[in-house]
Amino acid sequence: MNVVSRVFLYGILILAALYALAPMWVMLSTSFKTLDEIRDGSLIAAPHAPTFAPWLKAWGTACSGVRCDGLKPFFMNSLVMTIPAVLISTLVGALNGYALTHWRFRGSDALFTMLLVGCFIPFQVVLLPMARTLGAIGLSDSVFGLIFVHVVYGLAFTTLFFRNYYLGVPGELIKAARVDGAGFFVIFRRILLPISGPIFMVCIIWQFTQIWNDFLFGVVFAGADSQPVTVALNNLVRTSTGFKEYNVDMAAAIIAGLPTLFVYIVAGKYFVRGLTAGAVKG
Amino acid sequence: MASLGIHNIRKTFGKNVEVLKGINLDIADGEFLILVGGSGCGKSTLLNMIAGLETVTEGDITIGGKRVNDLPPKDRDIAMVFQSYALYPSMSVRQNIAFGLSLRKVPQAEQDATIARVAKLLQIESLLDRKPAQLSGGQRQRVAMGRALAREPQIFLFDEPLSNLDAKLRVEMRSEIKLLHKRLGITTVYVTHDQIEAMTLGDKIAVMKDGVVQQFGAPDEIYSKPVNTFVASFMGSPPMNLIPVTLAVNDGVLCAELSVGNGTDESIKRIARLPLLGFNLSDLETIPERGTSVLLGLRPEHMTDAGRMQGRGSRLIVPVDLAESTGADTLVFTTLGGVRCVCRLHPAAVIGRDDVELAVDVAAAVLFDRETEQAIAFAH
Repeated sequence: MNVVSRVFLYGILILAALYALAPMWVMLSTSFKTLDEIRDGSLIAAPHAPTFAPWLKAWGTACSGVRCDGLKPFFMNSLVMTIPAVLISTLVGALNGYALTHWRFRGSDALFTMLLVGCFIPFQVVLLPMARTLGAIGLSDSVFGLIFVHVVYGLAFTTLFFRNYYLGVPGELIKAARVDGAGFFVIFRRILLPISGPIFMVCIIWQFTQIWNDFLFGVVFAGADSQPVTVALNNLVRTSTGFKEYNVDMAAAIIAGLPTLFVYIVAGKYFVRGLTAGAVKG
Repeated sequence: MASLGIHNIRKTFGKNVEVLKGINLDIADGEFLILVGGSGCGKSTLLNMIAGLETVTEGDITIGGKRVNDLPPKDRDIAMVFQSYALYPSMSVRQNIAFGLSLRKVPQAEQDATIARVAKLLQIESLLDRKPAQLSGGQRQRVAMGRALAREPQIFLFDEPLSNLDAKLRVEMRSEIKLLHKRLGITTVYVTHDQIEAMTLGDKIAVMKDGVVQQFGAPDEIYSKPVNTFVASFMGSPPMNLIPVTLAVNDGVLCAELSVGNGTDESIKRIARLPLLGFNLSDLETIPERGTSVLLGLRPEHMTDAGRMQGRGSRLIVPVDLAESTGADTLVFTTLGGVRCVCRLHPAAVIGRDDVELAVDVAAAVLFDRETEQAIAFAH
């Protein structure tokens, strides 16, 4: 009986895992096949003669629209946009969270509530006002504009993360530092930052995933030269000359998704730990 | 070191939540002031205001004669020990102690000397390179005190520093704080809700309730001459007995008449008369008419066995409702004037008895008005 139920249990789990992994496998195997093999063979089969050609083409020479230099420049665009946007929104979120928990001022609760609402505003709603704002401050069609948009949109989330984390830091810690002679920024840098590791990981992973994977802001606000990789991937897949190059499309899709995958593999355990961990007790 | 003055201090939160309602306290250089009271009496708020962590709504705080209302904490030359110790978790003990010094740009050599001196004083030399998480509660307490001591402040502020320690350690650290104060002579303000800490540590005690100082004075004065029933029952463990009695004048001597025994059992209930020796009729603002009802305040140790009083005191035979042995004394619970009273007797005087004969030291009694709950007369 025990064995039977165990077999049953494992059977279900393995099936579920296969189901989840199947698309990944199809993508991977297809990306290493030649076009001929894709035409002849089955979808599931492993490549007979693995080739890197589709990957090289996707990276360096595939055409998206009229440009034919692959995903590479757009991948760089994404990096140039994502890294500053993640760092700025995380750092400002940390400062916000710190101020909202330990330097309460008149109206700080109202301010926090307003920020919270920001978490629930759909992307589409801000498109037009943001486009006008970017135009007004002269940042349209540039990577700086995109960074700005992502920082503004991400602040609601990062502030929420840090505020909840810093709520667990005893107020007496801040008082002690004030009596010791530390000011706002010294307390932040010397007392809070050193114990903020877990929540920084959470924030960075969250923001990185959001910003890297974003398509809508990218397609709306980026100029032709600052398009992120998600937009380029779309263009690449939709630009076909004659036969559709599934292998190149798959390779391109994997390339576009690799950084977030990488971030999860490297820092995933901190993500769970940071979400569940309370702050350090004094 | 400096004196501390608190003059007409008020604190309101929001529009109409008044937490402190005009506090006046003055302590001299080197004195140990205790702020004691129940939860929400405003004692911690007052301490935070002295520290500069809360703004002053009205009134003046002076340190060494200088008004400090508008100075930030760091410019008040104070040091504070917190209930949760508030050690910086990412720093070693050494860095914790040095933090305030390095922010004040004290030269490194001087910092090292201070750390060494403080560590020796508090016997934490072996802990200097540990992180707070690696310390026990008592050790954290020592480090927190070390951090405060390192600065050689004008005034030491303690916010319930012992309430997170277990009972044994609390008593140990209590004596240690007292010794440190004796040795260094730094003016100290100490907030506690524990009346034993208040009695043992303080040169002066301010008993607070609802944002008002009920009584401010030396511990023995607070203990033996409480100005109202709140102070009488807050200070002392077990608290002062407050027995409803009727005043009468008998042959020119003021007497208290009280019922003895359990109110529900009429058969053993009777009326006793205690002559209130030591009270002069002229002490009372209005000479009570026969039948004036007041509260007679008596500490448990002033209702004891005849042996302890060596024959003095008025005799009163009371039924034993319950006897609790504490080792050195036996606490006898009885019913006087319809309320539960505690008496402190020698164990031998209680064993195997349903009734005990008390010797009541009326010379230590206090009379309170039943309505206003204020003291109306003390014995001479």
